[in-house]
Amino acid sequence: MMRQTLLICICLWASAAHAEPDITIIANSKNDLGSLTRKQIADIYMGRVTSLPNGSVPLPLDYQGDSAVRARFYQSITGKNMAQINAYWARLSFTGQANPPRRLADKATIMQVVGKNQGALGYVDSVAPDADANVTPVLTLK
Amino acid sequence: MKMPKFSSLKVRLFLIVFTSTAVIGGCTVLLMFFIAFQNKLQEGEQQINQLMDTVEYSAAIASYSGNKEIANDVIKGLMRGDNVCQARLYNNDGLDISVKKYATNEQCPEIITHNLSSPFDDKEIIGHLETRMDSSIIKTRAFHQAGQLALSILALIILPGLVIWISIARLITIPIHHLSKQLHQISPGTHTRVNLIAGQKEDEIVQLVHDVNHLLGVVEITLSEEREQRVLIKEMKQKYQHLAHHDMLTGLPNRSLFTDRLQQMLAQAKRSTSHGALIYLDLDKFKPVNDTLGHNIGDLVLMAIAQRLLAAVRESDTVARIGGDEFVVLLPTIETRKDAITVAEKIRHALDQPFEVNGHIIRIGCSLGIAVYPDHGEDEISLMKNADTAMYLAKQNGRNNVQMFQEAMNPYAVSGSWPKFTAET
Repeated sequence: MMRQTLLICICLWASAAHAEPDITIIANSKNDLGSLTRKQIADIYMGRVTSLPNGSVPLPLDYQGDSAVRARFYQSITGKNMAQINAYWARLSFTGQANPPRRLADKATIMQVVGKNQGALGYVDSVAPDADANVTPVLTLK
Repeated sequence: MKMPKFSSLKVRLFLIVFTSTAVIGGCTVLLMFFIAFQNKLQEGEQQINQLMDTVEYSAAIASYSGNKEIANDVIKGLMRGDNVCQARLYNNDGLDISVKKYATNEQCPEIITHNLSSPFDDKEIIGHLETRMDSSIIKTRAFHQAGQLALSILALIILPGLVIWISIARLITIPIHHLSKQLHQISPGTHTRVNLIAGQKEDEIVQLVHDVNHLLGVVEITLSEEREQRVLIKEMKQKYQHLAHHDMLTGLPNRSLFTDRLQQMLAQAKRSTSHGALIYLDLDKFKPVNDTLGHNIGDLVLMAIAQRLLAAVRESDTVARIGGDEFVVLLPTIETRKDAITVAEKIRHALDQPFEVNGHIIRIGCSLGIAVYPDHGEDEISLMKNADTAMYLAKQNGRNNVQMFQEAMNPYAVSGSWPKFTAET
C-alpha cells in the first residue's frame, strides 16, 4: 500500500515536474470583478486602462527579477517576450507619464498585498484558489 | 541681277527643321512634366507611407497607452517629412494630436490614413495615424525634374537637328545655291561655265553641274553657228540688194536705184523750191573699143570711166549706169544752170583724156545733155526724155560737147532731123 502510494506520488510529481503549472490571476475578493479575459488582463498590466470595470483604480503587481512564470505570464497575455515587454515599458517610462506594474519579491508578498488592496491584481502559479479568503481568482492561464 | 531672297532653300530648310524640333520638343516637355508629376506624386506618397511605417509602432504604443508625449514625438517626427503638411494621431479614448504646416489644407487635399493595431493584438484597431501630402512641394519637384528632363531632351533633339541641317546645307543647299547663283549670271552662248565648290565629291549635284556645263557648251556652239549663219545671210542680203540696185561691172547705181534717187530729189525739191539737174551721158567711141580690143578691155575701160565720173562729182551727186555706154548724173541741188554746165564740162573733159589699159592708149570722149528741174520738166519721165533729147543734140553737134535742153528741140526730137542749135548760155 505504502509502496503503491509512493509510486503514484512519484508519478504525479514526475508529471507535475514536466507539465508547467497553470498561472492564476488573482484579485482582491472585495473587488468583485467576476472573471476577466486575457485582453482585460493585458490592458491592465500594460497600462492601457486606468480604471477597472467597477470604477476602482487598478494596481497590477509583478515579480522582481526574471522568472519562468513571469515570461510565461506576459507571453500568454500579450504574445510578447520579456525583452519586448521591457522595451515597451522603457519607452513609456521615459515620458514620466506611465509606470510599469509594481514589482514585489515573491508569491507570498503578492498574495498578501492583493489581499489587502481593493484594486490590486497579481498572478501566481499552482496555488489553490481558496488558500486565502481575501484573494479570488479572475482568470486561469493553462 | 539679284537673287530673290524669299525662296532661299537654306532659310526654308532651317525653318522646317527647327519648327519641327521645337514642336516635338515642346510636346515631349509637356509629356515629361505630366509623367514627372505623376512620378513625384507616387514617390511622395511612398515616402510618406514609409515614414508612417517607421513611426507606426510608437504611434500604436502612444495610442494604446493614451500617452500624449509619445504621440507628440510621433507627430513631430512625421512633420519632419518636407512633403507632409498635416499629421494627426487619434484614438477613440480621447487622444487626438494634430499638427498643421499651413493654416488651411487647400493645397493638401490627399489624406493617407494608417490604422494602428494594438501592440499586443494585431487584430485590434486602437487608433489612426493620418497625414496630408503637400502637393505644392510635389509640384515644385515635378517642375524641377521636368525642367531637367526637358533641357536634356531639347539638347538631344536640337543637336541632331543641327547636325541634319548642317549636313543638308553642306551636301545640298550650299552646292545648289552656288550652282543657281552662277547659272543666274551666265548668259547662254558665252564661254562662261559653272564652277564646282572646291573639294566637292562626285554626287548627283556634281553630275548636274557637268550636265549643265555640257548643255552650255552645246548652246554656245549652236548659238555661234547660228550667229555665223545670220551674218552670212545678212551679207548675202546686202550683196543681193546691192546687185539689184547697182551695175555689176562698175558698181555704180543702176536704172532702178537711179529712178528712186531721182524721185526722192523731186519730192524734196517740190517742198524746198530748189533746183536740180539731170545730165545724160553717152560715150562717143566705145563700141569700136569693144569690137577691136575685146570685151575684157571694154569692161576695164568702163570701170575706169566710172572712177573718173565719181571723181568729177560731189558726194551728194549720183552717177548711174543705165545702159551699155549710157550714164546719168543727178545733181540734187544747183544754184544756177551754169553749175550744171560746169559739172558737165568737167565730166566731158575728164572722159576726153586718154585711158591706158593693158598697154593700149584709148580715147573715148562723150556727149552730154542737161535737163534742169523744174524748168525742163517736173517729173522723172519728162526730165529723162528732155536730157536725152539734149544729149542727142550734142551727138548731132559733132560729139564731145555739152547741150542744155531747150523747148525748141522737141519737134526735132520727134522728126529725127536736127538743125544746128547754138549752145545756150
